[in-house]
Amino acid sequence: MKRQMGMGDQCLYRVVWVGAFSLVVLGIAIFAILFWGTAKFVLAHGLNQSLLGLIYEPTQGRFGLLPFMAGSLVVSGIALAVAIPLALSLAVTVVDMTPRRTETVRQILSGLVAIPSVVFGWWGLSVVVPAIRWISGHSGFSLLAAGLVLAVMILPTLSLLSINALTRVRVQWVEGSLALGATPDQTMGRLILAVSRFPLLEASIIALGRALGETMAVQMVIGGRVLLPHGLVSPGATLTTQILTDMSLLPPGVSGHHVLDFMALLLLAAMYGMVVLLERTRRMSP
Amino acid sequence: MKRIGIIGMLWGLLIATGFYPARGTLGVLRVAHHVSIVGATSLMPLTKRFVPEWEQKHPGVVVSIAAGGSWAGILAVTEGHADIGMADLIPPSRLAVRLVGYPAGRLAVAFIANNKDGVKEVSESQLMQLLLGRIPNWRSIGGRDEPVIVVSRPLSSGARAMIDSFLPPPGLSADAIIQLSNGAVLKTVRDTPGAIGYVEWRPGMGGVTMLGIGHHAFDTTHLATWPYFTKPTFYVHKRASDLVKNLAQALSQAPAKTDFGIYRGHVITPKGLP
Amino acid sequence: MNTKPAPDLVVQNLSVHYGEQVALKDVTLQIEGGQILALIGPSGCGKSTFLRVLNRLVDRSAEAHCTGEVFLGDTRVLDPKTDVVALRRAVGMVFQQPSAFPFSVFDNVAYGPRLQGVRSASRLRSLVESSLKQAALWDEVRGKLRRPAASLSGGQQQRLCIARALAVSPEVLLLDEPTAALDPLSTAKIEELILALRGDYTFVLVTHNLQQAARVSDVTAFFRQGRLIEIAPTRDMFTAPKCEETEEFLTGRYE
Ligand SMILES: Nc1ncnc2c1ncn2[C@@H]1O[C@H](COP(=O)(O)OP(=O)(O)O)[C@@H](O)[C@H]1O
Ligand SMILES: [Mg+2]
Repeated sequence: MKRQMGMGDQCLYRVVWVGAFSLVVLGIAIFAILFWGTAKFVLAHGLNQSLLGLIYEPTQGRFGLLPFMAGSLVVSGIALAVAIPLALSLAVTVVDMTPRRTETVRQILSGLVAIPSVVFGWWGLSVVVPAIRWISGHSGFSLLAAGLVLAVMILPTLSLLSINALTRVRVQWVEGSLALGATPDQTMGRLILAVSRFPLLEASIIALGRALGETMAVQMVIGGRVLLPHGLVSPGATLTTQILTDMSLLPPGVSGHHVLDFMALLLLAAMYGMVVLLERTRRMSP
Repeated sequence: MKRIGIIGMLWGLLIATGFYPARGTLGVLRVAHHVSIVGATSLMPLTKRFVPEWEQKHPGVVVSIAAGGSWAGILAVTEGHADIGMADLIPPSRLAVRLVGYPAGRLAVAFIANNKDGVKEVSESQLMQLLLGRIPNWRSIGGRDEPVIVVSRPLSSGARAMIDSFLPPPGLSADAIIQLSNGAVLKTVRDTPGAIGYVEWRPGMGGVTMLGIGHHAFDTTHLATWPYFTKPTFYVHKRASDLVKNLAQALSQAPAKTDFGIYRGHVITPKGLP
Repeated sequence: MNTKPAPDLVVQNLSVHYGEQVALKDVTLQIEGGQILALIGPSGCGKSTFLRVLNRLVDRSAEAHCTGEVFLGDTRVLDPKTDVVALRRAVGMVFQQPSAFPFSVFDNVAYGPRLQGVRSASRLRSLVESSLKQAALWDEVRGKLRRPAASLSGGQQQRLCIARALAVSPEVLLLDEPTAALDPLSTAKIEELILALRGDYTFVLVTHNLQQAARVSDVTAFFRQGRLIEIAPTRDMFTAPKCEETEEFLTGRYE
């Protein structure tokens, strides 16, 4: 029965191998370029005027990045704080449905996942910003608006992943719990959610990654103010939106161009941190 | 094994593109005549409208157009990454000496306020105080009781450069809301009570109050006397080919430019023309 | 151990349909409390369905429809007014597939008592210990109660599931092919355990293993295509089956 790999298989194998290899090379190259740029930037400007600075005036040689780091953190934080409970309640509701209805919900959510982010930005501009303006009396362009737009944006992904996590819980466990006299609510709380806490954490990390990386939709509603935000309804900026805004102000060759590398590297580091976290949770989950 | 070689080559090529300096086109695929244009978003619509017409008259020439802002346009041309840079700001002299500019005319910078602000005209000093962020409420200059919200373009924009050039330090209010394009500024000011901003005017803009400044009313039929404007210009490198210069000149004189709000001020002969 | 007397099981004209499909048809049988009833028959004949009726797990299939009467002691199992949660506490179940929760050994056994609001650590400990002892697992897991249940062998996991069921003090135990996935040694241990518990609980044991039915049960029922073909004291059934079909099945002439 033992047989040599066929010519076709061998070819496919190599294609895959070459593909994987070049991806690795590409990844390392991107990292190296960003790192190189960051090193140049730090040597030229020091850390006080960049990573640890509060004032961002690129034309005056001041590149404080704290406002953007704060912006990124707060905006992603709001997004997760709003999206996780909603996604979880949706998932909990869906799990008790018949398989056919679950499939329908899945299809709808997959459709929503495919909506381009500009559409969410536009929705934010026409609905969220005016709503916050009406409630707060401020302009409405704010970290809160960005966080809410992101929340809605990651909601489909997060719900899908949560539904997948909850429906992967084995039927025998669920029936075992019910057979011990657990009510459906007890089964949900003590068994299903307890068993899927790592997959749910994983889903949240993936959603956080998407929130942290999103640019266009956030830029449209956040207001782009470069000062340290003083509240949730204050306008602000994130690492990604500021890269977008200043890409044309600081093209290669201009003094300070490498601050963009620095910002990109910070994002990359954050994402990498999350991947590591993800791996940890994967290893911990049963 | 042959196939592997080809696949390897393809991947190599793909990776190489990743490292190839941005020139708008791939070195190995460079056609005989390729002209790349980069720069100000305010000139994009005009360029996009005009270029196909020009390409028809110059068979074999392919033109690529990319946005990126005035600054990026000027730098790309001085660095040789692009052939034509669209810009509505004046390049610093250290760069200007290497460039030839083909001015298209003027783009009026209109100061726009939300219709609910209740102010139709302001003095020039009031305008400056507003933009500096020193007038917190419209009430204090005779408008409604609405907090002033300044809406601006980012530092890379030509219109912003023009505003910064006439504001005293520390310049435009740091509290300003930043929107990336003319259109976004217009929409933001239109939708946000209390907002004031500025746009490069073009026909069709509405839904906001076009502020009169001092004794100048913003009258779209008499823009020639409006004192706030940028000078959209097509820049090429001094040593650019005749073909490139021809295109830049043709662009700057395109008849369609009035449709995009570009009008004639006094004539400026481009410096350094042969 | 179990203070409550094991209840009688009375089934009258029980039929179960899944939509159009008939899973059980007009089943009538009766066993005394504390006896061990073995269900045998080819796959798909409705044995699992029968068990799932007894603790109303059959409700989970939306299209399932039951008619007839089932009594466990005084409880009318199929009555819509019956408290399903109380019923399921009184009727423990062990499944063919290992269904130990992905928790520690301790948390598996404590799951049921905790559901009923037992909070005290010492009370939980003693409940867990006595249940594990009853399930003849204590000696093997003492000192390893915090280990994940998945680290136990298949046979140990099955006994853990029995301990888990015993911890809520049931009166009836339903075992759905509990040894189908086990080696002979583990199977023997489970059989020993069942025999040790005999009398305290009413057992319904589904098995594919005819010798097991012969070794363990008091009464054997043979099902085929949803019908109860024959029910008789195990010894009689295996020595002198009344129906030809039963004899064919017992001698392995079909399936
Ligand atoms: N949830 C269900 N939905 C529809 N049909 C089912 C379901 N469960 C069992 N059945 C059908 O009912 C019949 C009896 O199944 P089951 O009780 O599992 O048999 P056994 O345990 O004897 O193998 C089978 O034909 C099976 O296909
Ligand atoms: Mg079965």
